[in-house]
Amino acid sequence: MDHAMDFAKFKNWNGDASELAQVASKILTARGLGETLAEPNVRLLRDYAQRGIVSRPARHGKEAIYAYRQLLEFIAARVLVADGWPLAKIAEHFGHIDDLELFNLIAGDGGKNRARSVIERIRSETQVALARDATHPSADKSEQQSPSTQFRERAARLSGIQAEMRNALRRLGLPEDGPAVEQVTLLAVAPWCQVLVESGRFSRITIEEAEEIGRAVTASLLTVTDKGAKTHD
Amino acid sequence: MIKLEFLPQRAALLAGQDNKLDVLLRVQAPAAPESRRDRLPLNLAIVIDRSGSMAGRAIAEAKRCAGMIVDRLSAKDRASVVVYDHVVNVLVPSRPVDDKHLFHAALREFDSGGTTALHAGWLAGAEQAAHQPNGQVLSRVLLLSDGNANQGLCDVTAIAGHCAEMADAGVGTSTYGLGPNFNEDLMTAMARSGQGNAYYGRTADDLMDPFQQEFDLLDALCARRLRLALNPAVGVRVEVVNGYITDAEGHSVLPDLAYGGEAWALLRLTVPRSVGEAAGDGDTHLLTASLAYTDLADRTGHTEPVHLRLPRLPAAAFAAIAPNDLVSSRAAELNAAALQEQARSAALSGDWEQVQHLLQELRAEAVHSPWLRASIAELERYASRRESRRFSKEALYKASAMRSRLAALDEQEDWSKDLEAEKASFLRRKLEQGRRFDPPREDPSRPA
Repeated sequence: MDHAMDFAKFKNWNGDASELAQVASKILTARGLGETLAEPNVRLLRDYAQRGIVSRPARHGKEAIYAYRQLLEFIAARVLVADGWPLAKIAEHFGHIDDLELFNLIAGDGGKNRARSVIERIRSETQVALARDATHPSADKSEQQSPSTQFRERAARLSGIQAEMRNALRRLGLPEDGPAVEQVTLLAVAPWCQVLVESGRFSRITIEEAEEIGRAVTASLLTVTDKGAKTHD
Repeated sequence: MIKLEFLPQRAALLAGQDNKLDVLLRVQAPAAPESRRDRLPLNLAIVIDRSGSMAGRAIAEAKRCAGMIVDRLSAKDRASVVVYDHVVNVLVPSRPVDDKHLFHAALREFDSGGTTALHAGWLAGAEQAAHQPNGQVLSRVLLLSDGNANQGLCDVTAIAGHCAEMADAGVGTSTYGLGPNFNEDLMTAMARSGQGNAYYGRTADDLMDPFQQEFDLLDALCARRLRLALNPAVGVRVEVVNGYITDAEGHSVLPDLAYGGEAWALLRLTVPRSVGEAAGDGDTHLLTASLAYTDLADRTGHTEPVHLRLPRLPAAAFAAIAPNDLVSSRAAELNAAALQEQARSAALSGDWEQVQHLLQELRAEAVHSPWLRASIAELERYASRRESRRFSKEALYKASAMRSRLAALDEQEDWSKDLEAEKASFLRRKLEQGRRFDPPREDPSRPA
């Protein structure tokens, strides 16, 4: 389906918030994003307007009348959200983007952009190739093996690696079920000072804890540099 | 507007013999635009490697170069900024360059990090450039890296293939290698397949020069996507000595053409005796060439086909025709390119005796060319110090430049820094590809 052509018929569209949400829902579903994203609704539209992603609608008395531009903004924002863009970044850039660019964002391959289809293909081919290499790092790609042979070889290789790893961990006095793995985020608070924080902690950290950590870092730095004693003297 | 011209090394065939002859095919742009024109809007993705090895001065200079690019753009251009180590970040998604502060702020924002997911970084840049489907812009990824791809897709052939596909879809790639550790095979292959340019700087300071060069070229561009079709007469074989890549239809892909410049191909023809004899008494038709290109309005243009016809002369008359100097000079350049590529392989395998032997051949090849003679000197210095990495990079980039450079329309065999300094930066014959071109200093002893 040519979404670009399909979308062009909304050029003179206008309606209220609820109508915009309905139209957006249809277009996003046609673009294959209906299931990926939450159903557009009036609350979401107002939230986007508050964040500056959707521009102010015209007013007719007390009623807000949305038009093509707001429809473009809303749908393009949902497309970008589906691509993993943070709302703050979207808001930052939407003010400078014209209708055509928003249209192209929504149109995707329907916008006659061959380069973007090539990218999608490269991306998917690369993922497949990398996954294959990860499974068979030293396999000769020209040599076709039966799935059962591949599985047996892979299992043998993995069990060999695991046995070797268990021995190494035992020698180091570490638990045999594997090395400790933690997701951390590095905060560069100064060019010469970096702090590692457990990534999972960010959603739970309180202001008090953050302040406590700040004080602890200050105290540690002053102790190490021996300036703390002088300050207090 | 674009002129196609054959220039044979000798304007005749030797009668009654098999002939092998070099023919220069010149693709000449007009000297200047016919009327005042605006340059093509640019749509650039600036992709910067921020892996650990870029820490310190390298990353500072990369930011400075990127800042300079932004400063040269205008509100009608678009740009994006992508940085990568093992993670790819789009710092500025593709947008018009109407607020340069936003770009400069983004460039201040990042620092060096981890490993080098070069392909993923390049692809993210290509994706940004692909946001602009309009054909009347020049879309290009400018990839700046000091390292080797060591994460994700790392295979040179596969990456170069992707660059070729993107170039074909309208997004070219130019590469900028920095320092002694980047993978020159990868960077030159990407640019060659991506129909852009490959540059490198020995130091971060030297990088500014190629950025300038690329911009000057984009400013002066008059045609792109040049495709050369060669139709030899039955029995005649043609080899394009430059080694240009070919498209799906077998046409040679020539470099983009700028005003005041000449793209060229050296054609090596093998003409069996029977071809000449079949022509009877008249001139022998050997070859027809035609060129398709895309103009600045994104229209496809075609030059008038040109035909190469030569008379057949007896030995004495043939010997009396002096070889054409320009053709000999371009042939020497391409021979020098091949010798440098061989010397590079020898240097990488540590065979310095072979390197010396090839340099000797190179000196012999350069005997009539002041530029070639002077440009070999630095290679000789690297060879004498057995600096294999520097030798390898300089030899490869030199060879690559010699194979595909644009020549000035009025280029002479004479070479001096003074003469080159007067040319547009992209037409200069540099002594060293990895060093910036320093214009000659004023000679204090020279009268004012």
